[in-house]
Amino acid sequence: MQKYILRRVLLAIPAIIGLTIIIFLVMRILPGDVLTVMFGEEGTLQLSEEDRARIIASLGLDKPIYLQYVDWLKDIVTLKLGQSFWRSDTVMDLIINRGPITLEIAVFSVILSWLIGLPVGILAAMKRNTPFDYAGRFFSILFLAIPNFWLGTLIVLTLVLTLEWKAPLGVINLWEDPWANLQIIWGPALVLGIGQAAYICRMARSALLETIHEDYIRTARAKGLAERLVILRHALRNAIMPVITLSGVLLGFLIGGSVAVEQAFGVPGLGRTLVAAFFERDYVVIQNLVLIYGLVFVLTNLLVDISYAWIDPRIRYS
Amino acid sequence: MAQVTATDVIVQDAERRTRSWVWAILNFSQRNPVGALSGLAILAIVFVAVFAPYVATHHPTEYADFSALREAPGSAHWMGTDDIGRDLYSRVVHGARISLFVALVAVLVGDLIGAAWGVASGYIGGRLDIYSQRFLELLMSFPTLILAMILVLAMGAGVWTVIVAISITRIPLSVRVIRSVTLSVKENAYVDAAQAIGASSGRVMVRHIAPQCVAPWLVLATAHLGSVIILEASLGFLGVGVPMPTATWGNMLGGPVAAGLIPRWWMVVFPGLAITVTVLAFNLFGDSIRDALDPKLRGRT
Amino acid sequence: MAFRCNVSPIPVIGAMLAVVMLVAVACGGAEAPAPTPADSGASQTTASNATGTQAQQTASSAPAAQSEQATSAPAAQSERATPAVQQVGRQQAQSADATPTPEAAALPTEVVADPITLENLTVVYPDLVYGGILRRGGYYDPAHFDLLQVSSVTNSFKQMMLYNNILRYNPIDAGKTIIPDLATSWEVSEDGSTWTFPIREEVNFHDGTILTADDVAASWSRVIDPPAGVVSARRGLYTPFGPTIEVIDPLTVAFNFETPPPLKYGLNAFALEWHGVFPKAYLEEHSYDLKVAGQNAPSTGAFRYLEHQQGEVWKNEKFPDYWNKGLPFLDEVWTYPLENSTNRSAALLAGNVDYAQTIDPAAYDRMQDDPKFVVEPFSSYSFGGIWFNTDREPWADVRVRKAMWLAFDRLSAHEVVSEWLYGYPGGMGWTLPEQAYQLPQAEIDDRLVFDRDASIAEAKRLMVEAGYADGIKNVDLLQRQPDSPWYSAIAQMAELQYRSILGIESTIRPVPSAVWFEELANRNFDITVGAIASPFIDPSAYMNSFYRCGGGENHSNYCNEEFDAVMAKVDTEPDLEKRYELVQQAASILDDDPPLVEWWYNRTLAGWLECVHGIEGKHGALVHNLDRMDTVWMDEGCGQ
Repeated sequence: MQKYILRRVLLAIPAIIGLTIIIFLVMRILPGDVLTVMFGEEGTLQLSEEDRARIIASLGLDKPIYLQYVDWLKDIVTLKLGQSFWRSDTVMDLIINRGPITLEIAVFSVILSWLIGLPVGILAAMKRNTPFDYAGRFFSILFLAIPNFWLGTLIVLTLVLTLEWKAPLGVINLWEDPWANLQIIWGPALVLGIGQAAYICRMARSALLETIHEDYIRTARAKGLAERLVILRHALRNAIMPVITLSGVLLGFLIGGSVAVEQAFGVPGLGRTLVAAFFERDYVVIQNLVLIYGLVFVLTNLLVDISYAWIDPRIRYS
Repeated sequence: MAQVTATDVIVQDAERRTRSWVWAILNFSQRNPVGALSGLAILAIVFVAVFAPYVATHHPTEYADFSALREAPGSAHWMGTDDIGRDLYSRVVHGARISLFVALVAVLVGDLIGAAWGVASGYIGGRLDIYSQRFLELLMSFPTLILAMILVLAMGAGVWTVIVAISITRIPLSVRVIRSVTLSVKENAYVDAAQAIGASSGRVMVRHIAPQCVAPWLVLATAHLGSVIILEASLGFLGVGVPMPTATWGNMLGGPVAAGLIPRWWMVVFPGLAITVTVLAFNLFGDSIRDALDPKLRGRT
Repeated sequence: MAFRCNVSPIPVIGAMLAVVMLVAVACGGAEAPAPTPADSGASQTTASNATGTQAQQTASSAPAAQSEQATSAPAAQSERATPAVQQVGRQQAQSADATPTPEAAALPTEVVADPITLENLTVVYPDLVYGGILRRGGYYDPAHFDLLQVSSVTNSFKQMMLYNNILRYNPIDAGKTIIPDLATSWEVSEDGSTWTFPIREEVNFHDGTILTADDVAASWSRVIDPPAGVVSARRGLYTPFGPTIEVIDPLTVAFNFETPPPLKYGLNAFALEWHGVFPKAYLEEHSYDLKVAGQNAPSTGAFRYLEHQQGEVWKNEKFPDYWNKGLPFLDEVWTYPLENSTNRSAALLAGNVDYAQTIDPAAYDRMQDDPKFVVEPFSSYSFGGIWFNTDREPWADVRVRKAMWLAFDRLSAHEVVSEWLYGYPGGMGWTLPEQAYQLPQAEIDDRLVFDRDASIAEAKRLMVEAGYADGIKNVDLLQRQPDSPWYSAIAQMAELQYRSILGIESTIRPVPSAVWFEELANRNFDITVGAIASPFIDPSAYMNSFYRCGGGENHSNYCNEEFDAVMAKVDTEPDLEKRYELVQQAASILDDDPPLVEWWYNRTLAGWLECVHGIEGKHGALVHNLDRMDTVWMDEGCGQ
């Protein structure tokens, strides 16, 4: 097991380096130069030579490109992560301040998606082709079709209009004021959780239906085991594997999707910070935050792989 | 029996073909009414998009009635008007154009590139396969929306840059699927046979492997259409997609969200409904297509 | 009653004035009902007894006292007829009993009382309590931290409370009078060319050092003569008069003017909330540029900087060693940067903040009916405009500018933004409620009736005449703040109208405010949609800044010699009637040769919980008066 984990961790390192290269290339080479990103195409054409030189020097962009990349890697390794172009915050400050909220939303929405998606999926499989099954399938496919930011907007507007309720403002962490913190995060967590529950439900249902036809299930039934026990003890254990994998894949949607949902709810997480940085063309912040999002994605995939191996020993040796 | 002319043969043949085509659709509809309904819905949406200028009551950007700002839905404006008096119904209708156009082109381009790449990578194997796998894994380590965001940022916002950005996000997924199909097709005897009689790699890939990939590709592409529409709308909502004043469902939602304290429900509800209905139709249709083309996968997500 | 009287040449008069003023304030202020526009202003001075009118008349001889507001045209007329009225404060049209009052003559030029002391405030507010955290909603994060170099509420709203000024607007009479702040009094020489300010003793900076005249001089040298690389946004208010600073002794500073500024103008110019005082050493350490160092710069204000989380909250805390003993009352003031008026309104309604500024009109209506809230409209001479880059070819041509001015439907634009912003339509130089220089209302109404068809026809004719019959292609339309619904709506309106009417094809380029200012400075746009504000309401302040050649916020880079010549006279004309005529003359030049298209003039709506006290900005006070917060206090448990 340790060997397997070590191998997977080592494999993640080139992936992370690759991430930095792609981000660096997209940020530096595609737009022609950073000034275009900051001022737009028409804007750059009109900048005076001195301004151009001043801005470029202040960003350290007058150095050769490979040195710029090495500088950035140094920043990453020393956890400096650069400073906002417009403000005094470092990217590390932003992550420390906003990261917990986004993380919390992610964790809660995963929990929620399992709490909703798994039971509904299992019940739908057990009561196949009953109204419950149809209803479950209909809602799961409906919630896949509703854009999460729209659902978020509808919730926010409805609450403001009917109850004059709005989430508390500012960054309030769980350990500071749990009640206020929950008020901030429940909305995004719910919207993201429902969206993922739809996937989980569909996956759980089909995986369970497939395992139900396996020989060992038939054997279990033949033993005279109650159907409920057959499902819970035997079928579920195997059916859960694809669901876990899916959850890992979904984290990508979750992390990306949380950007739009945080925006819709006005939640002070990393996602909204990233969107603000896009508006402000604050390219240092964009570059580093995108890296963080990529890193989290790579690491969660790694964790999913490892947990998968832990549940299913066959994987370790293949 | 009268003499049978060549024309008759052609006509009969055409009729038979038509009949079989119609029969296939009827058969599909009977076995899969949901798929048929969603197919109809898609046809309707495509019709609206193609004939938007005729379906719409007003021009989406040139028309603005300053004496009818933020008017509720009524006989003059079926879905009301927006903040500067433009007809919301016409904007939603024209928004279908942009959304479908972006989705179709992005999926076609992205998934076709992905398919070609997948076939090549799977068939040729070796270093090409290893390196492209590593590269695509990198692309996949970005959340899709964020990858699309930085690509649009790099290229500047516009319809075509949004298309390019979205199609790039499609590539890794389709390479992965098509590559695995290729790997299994490659093992077939007829592929070996083709190689044995000296067919070039290109010929084998095009003539023997690609046709086997069509069905899974269709399943993949229809599944992608729905998610691409949401992706495009998210970009618009975040203000990094197709910019105003062009009407897209996403950027129409970006505005009203920030608008007045008493939100005009029609500005929020209609564009969102348009997205939901369209994506729902594509998802249901995609499911049915998959069931029809690949019975093995039936019932799976 | 105890009050503090400063060492001043004629202390007795000062004491008398203060007493009268306090009586006036105490009569109404202590039990002021929830004000509405109809009775606001009045609540300060109207006594609750039968002799109210009498009290008012008496009070009117005090500097702080003001009679009722009235914003009608006759008011403006009567003001012009009675120049003396102009001497008080700056809310001229405020003090508009139809009958001229003698009050203004009492404006002290040498004699100064000090009304903002703990003793005085406890008389005004008998229930005054200490403590509490005031949570406010307002505006984006600042682009940088040097208040000198911007004129944006994004900075002022968070930073003005950190500073003192030489003089200040009186917070308990809604800024209608000017009182001493860091100076203990003021003395203007006979010919008006030398203004001398004795500086308060034992004033602590936030870093523990003690204020001297050197610090004042160093800080003010940035205002009137900034070093290279530092932009003094309001420099234009002072430079026409050729100011120099002189340190007379460690506690006295004097300003010498080549041309003496009019008295009222000068008092306003020294009372501006924008110019805090910093230790000279600190300024030198940072090369007199506080764009970065300004966030935590030591100053003398009642509050000091505590914490700033970008995009989330800005916290200031009580400065325990504040020179004005016993002040301030709040422990902390937190400001949430809520992006737009809707967010702020919703946050206030939902109880997330105790005070919100620039709320939207719908929220204002709602809160007026709700006893839980107090809402007030405030003056702020800010307006939204579409500027032309006159450095570039088509817009150097007056005919093109005039055509674009005519083609844009300004009244509809006002309707469009009224969803989010409270204000009124108007014209350059002639609409400004509550100031003496605007036209009579009837004439304003008259001018605001446009014949759209005739305007469009004339606009098209001008374009043909200018040689742009086919329109103009590839126009760069710079839009401030991508996520602001109003700028976005106006930019789209402009794009649409200019394309469909004049054949001017533009592409909207939304940029965040910070980039917007940079782009304006770099002259990097063709036309641009945004909004700007004047530091105080006087024609010399805003017209010079907005329209004069080289003016600080003349974003069109507009130069009209005729206009500049008239403005030179406006700046120094002491006779009010003549000055009014000159201002109208200047305004009519702008109508013929428009430097920009204006689409909205601002009134700022503020709302707060009824348990928050000490915000005495009654009808008409300039909104920056609200930013010092040193007299604000909250009931116990308020807003929890």
